[in-house]
Amino acid sequence: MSKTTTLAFAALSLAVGAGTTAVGAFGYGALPPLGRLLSPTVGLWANASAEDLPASATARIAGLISTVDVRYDQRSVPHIFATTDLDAMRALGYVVARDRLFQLELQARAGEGTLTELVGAVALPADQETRRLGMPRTAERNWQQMDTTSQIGRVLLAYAAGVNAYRASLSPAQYPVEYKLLNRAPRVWEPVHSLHLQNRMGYTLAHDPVELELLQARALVGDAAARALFDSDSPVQEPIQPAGDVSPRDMLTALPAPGAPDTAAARLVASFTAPRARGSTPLAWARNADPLVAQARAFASNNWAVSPARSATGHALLAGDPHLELTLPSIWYEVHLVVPGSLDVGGVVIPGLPGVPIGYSRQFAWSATNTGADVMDFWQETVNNETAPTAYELDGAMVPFTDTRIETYRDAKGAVVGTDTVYYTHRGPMRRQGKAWLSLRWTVLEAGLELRAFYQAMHATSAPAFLDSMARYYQAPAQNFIVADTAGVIAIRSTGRYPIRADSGRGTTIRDGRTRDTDWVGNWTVAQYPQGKSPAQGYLASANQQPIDPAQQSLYLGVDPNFEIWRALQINRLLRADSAVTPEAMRRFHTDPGSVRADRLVPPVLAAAQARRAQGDTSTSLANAQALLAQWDRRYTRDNTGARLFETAVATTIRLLYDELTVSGKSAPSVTPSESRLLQLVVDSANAWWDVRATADVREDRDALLAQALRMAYDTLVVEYGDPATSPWTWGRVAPARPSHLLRLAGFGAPPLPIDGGRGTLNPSVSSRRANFGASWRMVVELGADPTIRAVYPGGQSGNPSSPRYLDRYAMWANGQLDSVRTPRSANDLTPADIRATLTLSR
Amino acid sequence: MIRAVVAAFVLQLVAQQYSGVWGAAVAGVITGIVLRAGRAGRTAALTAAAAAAFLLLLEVLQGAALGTFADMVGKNFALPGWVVVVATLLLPALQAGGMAAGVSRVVRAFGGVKPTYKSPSVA
Repeated sequence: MSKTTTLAFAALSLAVGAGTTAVGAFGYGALPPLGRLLSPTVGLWANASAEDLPASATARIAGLISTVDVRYDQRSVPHIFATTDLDAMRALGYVVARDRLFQLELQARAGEGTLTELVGAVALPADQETRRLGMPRTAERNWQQMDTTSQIGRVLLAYAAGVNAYRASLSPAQYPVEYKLLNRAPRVWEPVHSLHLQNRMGYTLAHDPVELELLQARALVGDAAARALFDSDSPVQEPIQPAGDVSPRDMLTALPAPGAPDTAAARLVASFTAPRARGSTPLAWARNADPLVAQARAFASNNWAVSPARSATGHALLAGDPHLELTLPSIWYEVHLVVPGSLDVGGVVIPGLPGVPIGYSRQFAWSATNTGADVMDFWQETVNNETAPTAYELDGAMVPFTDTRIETYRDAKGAVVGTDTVYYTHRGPMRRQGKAWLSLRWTVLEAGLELRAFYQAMHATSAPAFLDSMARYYQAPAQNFIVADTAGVIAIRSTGRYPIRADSGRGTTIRDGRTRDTDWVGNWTVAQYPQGKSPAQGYLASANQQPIDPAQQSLYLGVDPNFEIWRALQINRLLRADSAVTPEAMRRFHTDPGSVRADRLVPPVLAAAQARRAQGDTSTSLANAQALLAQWDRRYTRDNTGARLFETAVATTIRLLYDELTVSGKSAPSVTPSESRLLQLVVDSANAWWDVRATADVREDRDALLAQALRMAYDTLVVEYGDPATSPWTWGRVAPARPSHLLRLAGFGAPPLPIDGGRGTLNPSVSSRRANFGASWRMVVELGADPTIRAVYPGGQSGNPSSPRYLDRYAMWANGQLDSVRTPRSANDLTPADIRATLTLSR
Repeated sequence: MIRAVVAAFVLQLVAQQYSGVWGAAVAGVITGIVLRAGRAGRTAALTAAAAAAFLLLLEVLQGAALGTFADMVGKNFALPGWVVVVATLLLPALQAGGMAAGVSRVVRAFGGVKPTYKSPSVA
């Protein structure tokens, strides 16, 4: 072989070696650095074998006052025994980071609007939304204005010290697997990150632009019809604040027919949606109205408490199950904190927040559901310069913006992927919306004492003291806090800041920003909050329903689309029927397959099918669908075969029914009323809403449309799941639970498991390609002399997908079972057999 | 010959264990210089893959559920798990083999050094 040929082969070989090494080390284009990923010693494989909870470990945290003893029980729950509250918070930061480091960062970045820096430009729309809403600005200002020697300032610093102590102890080989896949390293945890996360929860639970939805509806069907659907009370009242009723109160008034478009509203919508400046998208602040997406969004929760007089054990009982997106790892992390003489609380924390939002102490237990109050309003502003405004009109003068922020979005390498200018009026952030400028005011942006509320409440000694602590500081997102104590008191209060509006008093119209006369003029007093304490009925319950019956109090709190009635009806039905409630019954209620929604809506659907067939409709699909639905017992058990048909029929009904709310060229309504409106329409068979616009020569009535929807649903499902005669649409098969990984990585998601429950039941778990929602934590507490707690959440304590603790609670959760929660008073209360691992933290 | 292969294997083990993503390539360069043989590339590639396999085996012995985890990782990229395992072995083999083959040819071209051993296939 000639020397030239040899050198040519040498060059080729070196190119292969150097090329694969370079790609392995640095990646190429979209290809990640495969060497770092695949290295058996530092790559993904290192996460496969890492014992993420060694039987015994020690660690150091700077600033610790004295040694903290952490004992993980057999359920991997860390029991933190500290001598001071701040040491307990340092340890809390450490143990949460130890199991959930990537989640900490991801969730905080979501509230900070810097996801692009972690996952790349794919997250730009989410970051833009976050920053245009002014959320990071609020968190930064709250932290800047916080006295770091104050109680909460020190708590946030202590928590951050714990997180960072764990982070600093890691070698790259020990980084969570997600960091390796993203080729990133964990960042330092700053106290302000906790405040970003707090804001993120506000976005999740209190983002309610009802006036934009109403405006779109008015532009399509006129003012009267739109207001009847979007600016009114729930048609069935089963309020949180007990009204003394022995049954729900129906208000099934006739809905006005869809009318001619409101031209003023239409002009406004047109001006908002006109293609214009960068950063402006059509009604960008509005919620996604696609019925399929709306149906998949089951942000909801249940909680209820039973008085000793109605409890079989003679003790107060409490149950709670917040429904959120089901992710892996779970949004919750279970802990127990003991500081002798100061603190003895357990429950679940949100990784990144130094407080226990749902849990128990020695004296009481508490849980929360979302209030759904309207706490976000919009104003149309007039600015001095359409392209580069510096001032806005107010009371006849142009006043400068209170703030103008240039928001810069960067990718993981620091390159700029986008910029924004966000202006602030005295009300809040302002953004270009088509040809108009809209500012918003939102209680979430004016809150900031929530951590203090939880911290104080954790030190309370009774149910009333807990609620009073919350009422004193807690502003947003408004929550229905329920609490029961060992003295037998049960109480509930919808706690948060509820603004009082000028003029109409309602938050359903976009106001004129040129005058202060349209501003909020005050807040509800605590006495006006929806609430109840040890009522005569012997129980309290909330499930995201309208908190107060408008017949009791007419103050504006929100509109029907913000509330849901079905689960409230169901839990009240169960509790009314049981005069001797047991903790075991409470457990069963969590996954009770009964559905008031099905009980009230299936009969009219069946009647419609029967009527159409009697009138000569010979459709085989309709006959089969009717037979299938009639066989269903209207219970969402995992082995039922009728619920899938009913669910699809309801979704189809809504799409056909509200075709007047569908903009031409679109297949789904722009805005969708709540499902409860069906109750008003099914008793009004000739209402014009039943008529389908597309069939101009035919006027459909209720039976025609319901039968059509049922037939269409049947045909759709045959295509999707096969002939039900040979391939039954078993609920557990076609609607399983399926928590997904935080990054939607298919390999790290949970396998599908059948469950009892579905939309409208107390266990409204839904899974789809778009989202997975459901009971993110279930807890039943018996408030005896020493409270007995049972609980579970889907997933496991570890955030490492290869850990045996990643999914160890999933099957128990899917089966509706609860685990016994340990509540040791000291480390010595746990025997060696109780302990899975120990961690000793010292300075 | 066997001694040379064993030495190359040990070199790969140490290099991959302690030099991370550069380990296999660095060990490949050393192998190429030391062996200067026509089979240096193949020897380096095989020993690099073997070393990676051995390190994976150690992970299994420490409790890693190799197959399950490979399936999980592969599913994230719409790949079967065995592809992830093969890629884990193939990458250091290409790194080491390429570097060893290239370096050994350069050394031979300019140094005129004879091969120091015969590889198993020509023994």
